[in-house]
Amino acid sequence: MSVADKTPIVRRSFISGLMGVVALMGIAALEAPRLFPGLFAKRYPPTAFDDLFALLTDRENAIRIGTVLVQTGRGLDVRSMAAELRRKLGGHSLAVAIADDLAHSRLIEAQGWLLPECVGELCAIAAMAERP
Amino acid sequence: MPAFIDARSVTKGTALETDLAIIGGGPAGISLALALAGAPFRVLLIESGGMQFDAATQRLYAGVENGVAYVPLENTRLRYFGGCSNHWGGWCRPLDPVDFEKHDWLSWSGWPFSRSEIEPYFARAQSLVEAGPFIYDDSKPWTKALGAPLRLGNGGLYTTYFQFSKQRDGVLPTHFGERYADDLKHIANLTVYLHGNVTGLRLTHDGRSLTRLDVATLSGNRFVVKPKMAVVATGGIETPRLLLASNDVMPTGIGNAHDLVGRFFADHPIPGQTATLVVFDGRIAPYYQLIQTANGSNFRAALAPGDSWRRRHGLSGALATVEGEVQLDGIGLAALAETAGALGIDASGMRAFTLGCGMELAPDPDRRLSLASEKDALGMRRLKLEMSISDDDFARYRKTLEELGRQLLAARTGMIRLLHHSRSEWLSVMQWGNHHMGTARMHHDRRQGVVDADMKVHGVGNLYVAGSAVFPTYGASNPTLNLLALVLRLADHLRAKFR
Repeated sequence: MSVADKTPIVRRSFISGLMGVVALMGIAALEAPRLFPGLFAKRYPPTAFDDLFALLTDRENAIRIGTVLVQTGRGLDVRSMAAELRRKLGGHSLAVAIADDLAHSRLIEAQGWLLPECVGELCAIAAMAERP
Repeated sequence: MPAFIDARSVTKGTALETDLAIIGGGPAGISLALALAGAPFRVLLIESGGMQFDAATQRLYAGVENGVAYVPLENTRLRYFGGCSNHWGGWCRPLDPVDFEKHDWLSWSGWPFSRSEIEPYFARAQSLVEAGPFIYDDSKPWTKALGAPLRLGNGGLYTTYFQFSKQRDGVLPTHFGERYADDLKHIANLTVYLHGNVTGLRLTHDGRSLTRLDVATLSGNRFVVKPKMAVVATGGIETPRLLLASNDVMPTGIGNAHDLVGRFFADHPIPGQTATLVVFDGRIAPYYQLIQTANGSNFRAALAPGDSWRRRHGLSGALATVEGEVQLDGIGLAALAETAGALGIDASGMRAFTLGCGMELAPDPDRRLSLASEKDALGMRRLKLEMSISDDDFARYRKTLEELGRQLLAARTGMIRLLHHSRSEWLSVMQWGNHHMGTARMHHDRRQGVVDADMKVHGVGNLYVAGSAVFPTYGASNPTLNLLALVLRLADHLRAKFR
């Protein structure tokens, strides 16, 4: 068998292998955020409100909701809002604060969505903390 | 079996004598005639239309409208035998006890009696609408068969139930004209005239007693009916028209000495898209979204504010229904994820639905029907409607749905989005129930009501009004079942009067 006869087979193998590698890389890229969320989550610089942000499920979602609230609210001050929320939490869990909000009909509306007040405040703080 | 008589064939100028005349062959008039079967007095029922829709007859309903957009007056009702039952949806639910009460926070509120006064008549009314056994909120058989209602936190709203007029072969609710025509033909003391339009109620010179009804047909025939008593059962729009147009003795119209006839017009705003309901685990009993059949009845659930909460917070009746399933947008998904996460709930199986919400308007004397200058083909002045919804009505609707949102969160069941933030947004999607009420309101005091507690027109000894025109406050329930209970009560009263 001459070299000329062998070349197409080698090229075919190389292309097949390359495609396999590309496919594996694609799968890895798609699945990695799910398998290693901490590794791929957006990194935020430290803030004075990280104790509160630890209560959030997803900071991106919170910022999205909070942006709506900040746009419709006037004169919101992130520090005083955070201080008030910490006072409200008072060392209790977020679930306790939510239950207290609901028992006292304290709701916040974000584009019509009715949220417990403390959840809305968390989101608003997350949005305000993003501001330069 | 006597057939119905065509009023066009009555000899011109005839005076028909009878003991009781019923004007109008809708659900109220037909039910009253049925209830008076076998009574020891003669009954004559006269209906404007025939057995089928006729465009020329329907055009007699045309009128003019100002203010908030409303259904054109010629489209919001039907003028042939069976009346509005020819296009109703069959929704039935008794009014709540709180609907009958006078409230300091609601001007002009209160019936002259409590619900217990018409309670004994609900079973027969239920039979007339063919809605099966009277179950409603005694719903255990349904929830046992089809699943528990949505769990709500303690508070204002609860799951309540509509029943539905019989869906024969899955098609139609009871059309009173078609359904009861043969029964009416078998009533020996009843004569029914079709195609006869009562164009005037004529009183004695002192205005204290009705002497005759002027009748006209579109073919040009005219004759009179001379009854000992008469009942106007022409619906919440045509009743004030007839009373106002009969102004030869009483210049402002019959029963209108205190300028009440035609005022307080009400309907139920029933926009189909008022909110989005998210159920976190996606599990919702089928009777919320679609009519179900069980225990011999067709039924469907709604969410309503309870009586005690309405009293405490000064709120009107409302009935929210779960409609079509919808997809959430980006902000909706974010709100869901963050809220469910904060509550520690897995919402991966969530489902979202549109919520419709019908509600009760507050009585408003400026929401009004009056006579226009234009005349119809019979020479009768047409109506002008001044329609409005107040900011307070909108605020009450919002507060009710906010409470539902709170209760859903408190029970960790779900959450809601309110779709309208202003009255104008709300009005932009407005739909109406075609439930015409309030224009001949009932009150003990003639300064506050057109008819008294017996539905007799104040000041006129032998003239009554039957139907939802007499409702002084309206509730959120569909009026048919309730007006029929009132009609059956009136039938007992009339039997006693003739005794």
